[in-house]
Amino acid sequence: MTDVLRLSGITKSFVTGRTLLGKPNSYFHAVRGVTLSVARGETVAVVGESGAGKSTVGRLALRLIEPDDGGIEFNGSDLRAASKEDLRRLRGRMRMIFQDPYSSLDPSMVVGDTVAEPLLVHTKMSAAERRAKVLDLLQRVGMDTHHMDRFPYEFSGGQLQRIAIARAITTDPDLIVCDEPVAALDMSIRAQVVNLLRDLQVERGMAYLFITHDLSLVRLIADRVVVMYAGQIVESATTEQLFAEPRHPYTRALLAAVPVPDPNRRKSQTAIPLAAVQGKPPAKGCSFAPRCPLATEECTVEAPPLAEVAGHDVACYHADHVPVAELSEGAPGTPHPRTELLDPH
Amino acid sequence: MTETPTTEVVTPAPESTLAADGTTTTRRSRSRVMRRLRRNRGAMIAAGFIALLILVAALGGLLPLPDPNKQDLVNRLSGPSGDHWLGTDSFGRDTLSRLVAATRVTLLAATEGLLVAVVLGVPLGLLAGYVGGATDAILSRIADGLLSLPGLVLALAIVGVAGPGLTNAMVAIGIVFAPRFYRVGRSAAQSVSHETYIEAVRADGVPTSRILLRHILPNSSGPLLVQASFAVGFIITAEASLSFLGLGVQVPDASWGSMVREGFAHVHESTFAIIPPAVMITLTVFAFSQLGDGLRDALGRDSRGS
Repeated sequence: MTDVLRLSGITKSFVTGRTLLGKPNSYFHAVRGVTLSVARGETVAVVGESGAGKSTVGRLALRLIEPDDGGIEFNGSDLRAASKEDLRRLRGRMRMIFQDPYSSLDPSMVVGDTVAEPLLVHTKMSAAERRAKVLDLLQRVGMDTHHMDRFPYEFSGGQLQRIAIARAITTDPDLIVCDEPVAALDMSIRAQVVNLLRDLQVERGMAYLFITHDLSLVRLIADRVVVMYAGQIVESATTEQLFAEPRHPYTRALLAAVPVPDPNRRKSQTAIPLAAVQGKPPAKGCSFAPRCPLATEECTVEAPPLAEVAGHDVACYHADHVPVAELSEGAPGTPHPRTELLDPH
Repeated sequence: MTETPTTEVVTPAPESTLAADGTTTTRRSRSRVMRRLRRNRGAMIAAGFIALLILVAALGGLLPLPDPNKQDLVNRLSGPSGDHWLGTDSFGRDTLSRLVAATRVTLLAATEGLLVAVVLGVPLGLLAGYVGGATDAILSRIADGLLSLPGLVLALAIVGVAGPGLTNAMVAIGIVFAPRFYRVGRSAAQSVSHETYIEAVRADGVPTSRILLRHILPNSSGPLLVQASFAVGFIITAEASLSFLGLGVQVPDASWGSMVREGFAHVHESTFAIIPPAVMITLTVFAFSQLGDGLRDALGRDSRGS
């Protein structure tokens, strides 16, 4: 399989404070040395709590924001070396779907024009061809032809997100970055949108970089999962492996925090008790160490590198010699302070 | 407000909105604004008055009125009478005819001034607000510089260099008002630029020129429209001031401003001649600012972008 997207050691920090003279003096390290790849037609999910740098990775992958360091390769060509105009042209092949469909569609444009715009910008189609294609796409995502001439405020969130999807697939892109595409939608219509995304992938073979904090969604849609914590990848594996045998203590905590829709099982559901978040991650050592129940002396000295353990890439010194069973069969009944784990969307 | 939820169901727009680039109808959101505007009685009366003025300006020549330039020195500075409803001026010319003829001159002049101000100010404002950085810094300093000069003095200086005449005067006034449109356009573009849909169109590779024209401009149009309707009032006043000083409209043509000047020159002989043009200026300025107020209220929700 060829890779559509390859990020190597990508790093980005944002200035959070400046001196009186405007010299930056404090930074937030949003993404620190992230390496990942997305193959043609594959779905890679990026998961993690709020502030883990997931969305920043998505925007860096499309070079919507400039990385401080690291490489971005799109379809084998170096995206960081591309000129402004080349990059703009390449945007026809890589698209993005945003979290909130109410704010990601231009309110002053009828949806027909919104969906047609990428065709206008990236192809030489005539007005009639564009119109035909837009009608086709709108029908594909379950909208009616007369919706073309309506404004966004006339639609529901689910409809708007489907319109945004129609816009994203107009130019048959190779990669779509989906930034929490269903988080802003009602529970009842999430499945609809997720299924649409899945079906479209089967039909058109594009790859998804799927950013989410919702692990139950990951299971449905992703081929591989990348778990991020404090701007770094802590574990990456195929979806099956990750859910069957999570290796990193943070991944285990995340999985344990997924609600189980069965009142009888709830008590036996286990989680690692995590310490509460304590401000900024430590300057040296593993960033997860302050919250980690397995942390030892060595964790606070030097950050563990991402290394292969039983088919997973894990950044933890204890990943290989802590029995998985022991952790996933922890003592039942004790309530865990896991509310801070996932943001409450 | 007690607005009933939108119930305009399935009336497919007959003209295709995809037909030609740049001809999108934003009729629906506009019709919503129009509905709110129509409920505002003050604004509607103002709009009616403005429509009447435009009608008079266009068709004034067809009215059965005496020639506005025909002198009758025997009957100079007469008050209202059956022959001259609004009296005569210092040359015995019929004030009503001149007022009607001046309506056209005044409205055309206001349009000219507004056009110059909008064409200079809006595109640069949108660009500065969207692009930011050095472009913004340079353009904003120029605008600040222009704004720091008293408007009338700047206009006087420009007319002084270019020579008197209505067109020169209106270009000068347009330049004076351009920084105001620049400021409004810039701040509107700035706030629109931070909307997700602008990030979305950028992510889709839409070129900057198109982003400005098709995304930033339509979503900034509310505050600009309000600014324009206020500005028309100010521009009419400014034209009157310049014409009052003799730098605007030239004899024998008349604008309301030049009529006030003539009336003022003879105010000791007749106090009436000054009143009709002054009332027209007042009413027109008031009408435009009423309409501006109404527009601002009607746009309110929409201009802030859902």
